[in-house]
Amino acid sequence: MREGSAVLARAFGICLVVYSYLGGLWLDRHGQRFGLVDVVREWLDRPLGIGEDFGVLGLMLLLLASGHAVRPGLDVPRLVRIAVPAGVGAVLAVVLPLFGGEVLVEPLVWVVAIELVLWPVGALVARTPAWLVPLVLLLLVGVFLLVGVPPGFAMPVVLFPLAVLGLVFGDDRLPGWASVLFGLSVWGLLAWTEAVVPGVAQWWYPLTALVAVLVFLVTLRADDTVGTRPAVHWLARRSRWLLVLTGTLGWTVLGFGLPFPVGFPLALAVVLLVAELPRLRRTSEVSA
Amino acid sequence: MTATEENAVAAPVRAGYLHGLDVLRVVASVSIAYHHLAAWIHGGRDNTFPFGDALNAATSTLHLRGELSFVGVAMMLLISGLVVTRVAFRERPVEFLTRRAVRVLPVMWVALPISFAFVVAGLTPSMAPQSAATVSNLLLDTWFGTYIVPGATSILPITWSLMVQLVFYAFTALMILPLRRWPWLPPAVAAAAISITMSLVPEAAAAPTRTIVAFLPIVFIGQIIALVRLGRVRLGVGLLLGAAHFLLFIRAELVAVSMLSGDGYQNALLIDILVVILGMDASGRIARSRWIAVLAKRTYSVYLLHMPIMFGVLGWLKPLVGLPLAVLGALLATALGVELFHRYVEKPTTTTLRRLLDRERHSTG
Repeated sequence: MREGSAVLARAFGICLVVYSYLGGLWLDRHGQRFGLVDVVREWLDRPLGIGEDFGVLGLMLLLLASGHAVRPGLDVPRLVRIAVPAGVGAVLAVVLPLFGGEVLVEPLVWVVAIELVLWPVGALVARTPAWLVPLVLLLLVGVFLLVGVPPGFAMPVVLFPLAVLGLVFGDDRLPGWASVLFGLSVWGLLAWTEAVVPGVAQWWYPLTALVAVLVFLVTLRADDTVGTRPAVHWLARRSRWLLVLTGTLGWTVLGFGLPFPVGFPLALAVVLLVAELPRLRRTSEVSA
Repeated sequence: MTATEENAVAAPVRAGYLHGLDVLRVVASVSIAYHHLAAWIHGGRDNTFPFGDALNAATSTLHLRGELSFVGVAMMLLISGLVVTRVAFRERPVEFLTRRAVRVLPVMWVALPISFAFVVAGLTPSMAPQSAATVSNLLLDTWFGTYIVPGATSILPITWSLMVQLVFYAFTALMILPLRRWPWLPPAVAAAAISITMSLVPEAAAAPTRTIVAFLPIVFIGQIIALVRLGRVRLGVGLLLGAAHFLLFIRAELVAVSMLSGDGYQNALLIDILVVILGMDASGRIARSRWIAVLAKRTYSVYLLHMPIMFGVLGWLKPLVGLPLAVLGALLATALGVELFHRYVEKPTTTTLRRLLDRERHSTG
């Protein structure tokens, strides 16, 4: 298993997330329209049946990549890479509203939460047969569905199996047929979720998940070529920061009242610049 | 299993040969045959088909069309574009077109009278009405005329997709020289031509043109996959061209009323494209197995014959022995018919004609 793996999937996933939640969802929540987003919806979202402006597809790609990157053992540097952006995001989500800023917490928070939940799994993976941990995790989702999903928890129930599938794809000990079986199990769980959790069926998540898995597998094969390009690497390495900043600083800037064609590039620039700050600090430490 | 035993069931990886495409060919032809079987069963009164119901329930979560409709056809068109483009780099234009025509047409011409016999006997009303069994329709079908001449009815209605492929072959033959020099150019010109045709041709006035331009983008997506895979076109350019053709396919539905109506086409194509990209390089034991090679060689025969034989036997046997045994009989009869057709029609015909073409090539070259 490789921490630097699934670079292209991570980069592509975060692009979809930023487009969806900084663009599409903000417009919808504020009753606004933007021609380009409307065209994309007419020509791609609706014909393909992938809803929410490809945002959930992006979240699924991020979680597949996250599961794929789980290493055997307790990987403390990885925990830091997850927890620091999560902590900063949490602080911003609390502080910005105090100054009148608008923030988007759900569903972005679930990606970070699932990554944190999945982190200690690495220690179990090292000591157990390869199939055991993913199987137990999927069974837990099944139990959750059996006893009833509390209101507001539909999204993690949809997203978590994708992270588990990423874990399966990243474990070289599992044969191909086992990955297929796990994939079918995840499909079954998502279909079950559609059937028992109110309001989920309208979003066609099993279709989105299948496309996410296929795109993820295709991008894995392109990692050695496309994944080495600087822009792709940049996006992948800052994907967690971009994720937490989109819903916090990005939404706050969009809420300044500027027209969307001006506000969106400005919000995007702020998100990209701030995502670069941790890197700049590290560079200055090195040069010092 | 020892290495020797393993070699006995799986062929070695051949350089440049895409074993994965053999698997995909089999998947496509099985999907197409399954679609027609399931549609026949579900179309009949009092028929129960638990397997089909379960599969429909499962695929409905992916919002695909019922009975795996379009999944196999789209995959077959993608594979066609992919395979033929690889060949186009080593054949001259006339040779290229002749070889493709020789591969497709003579075998189809033999399949047509077989289908005609089933239609004449009135065994396949859900494929073509008995009244369609006229010499005129038979002759028209030899050049796809039943799709063009008003009032004509095809006696083997599956051949429409061959018409799409032949148009693609003709275009590729015309563009072989630009394809070698500027590989991005033919799919780009095709995208422009398809778009203009969609805009200019009134839907009701020219149904076959509509059919061709609606489905041609799929074959060109296959071509673009091949060009990127061969390293002839950069990935970024390939993505742009692929997106253009994908949007043209979407446009075919957006601008048409009767063509591609309903959901399930675009998502099926997207899934097929991703599956083909992932699957074409497969070279594991299954992909190299003898059975896959045997089945892959018979996919064209399956394509041509499954409908008349399956429908004919189902219609004949169901009143006598009931649906389950009729289905079993239809599957066995189709397998037998396909095997005989492949051995005594498809293989000898294509081998003889290819040998003649090779002899001519050597004598002129």
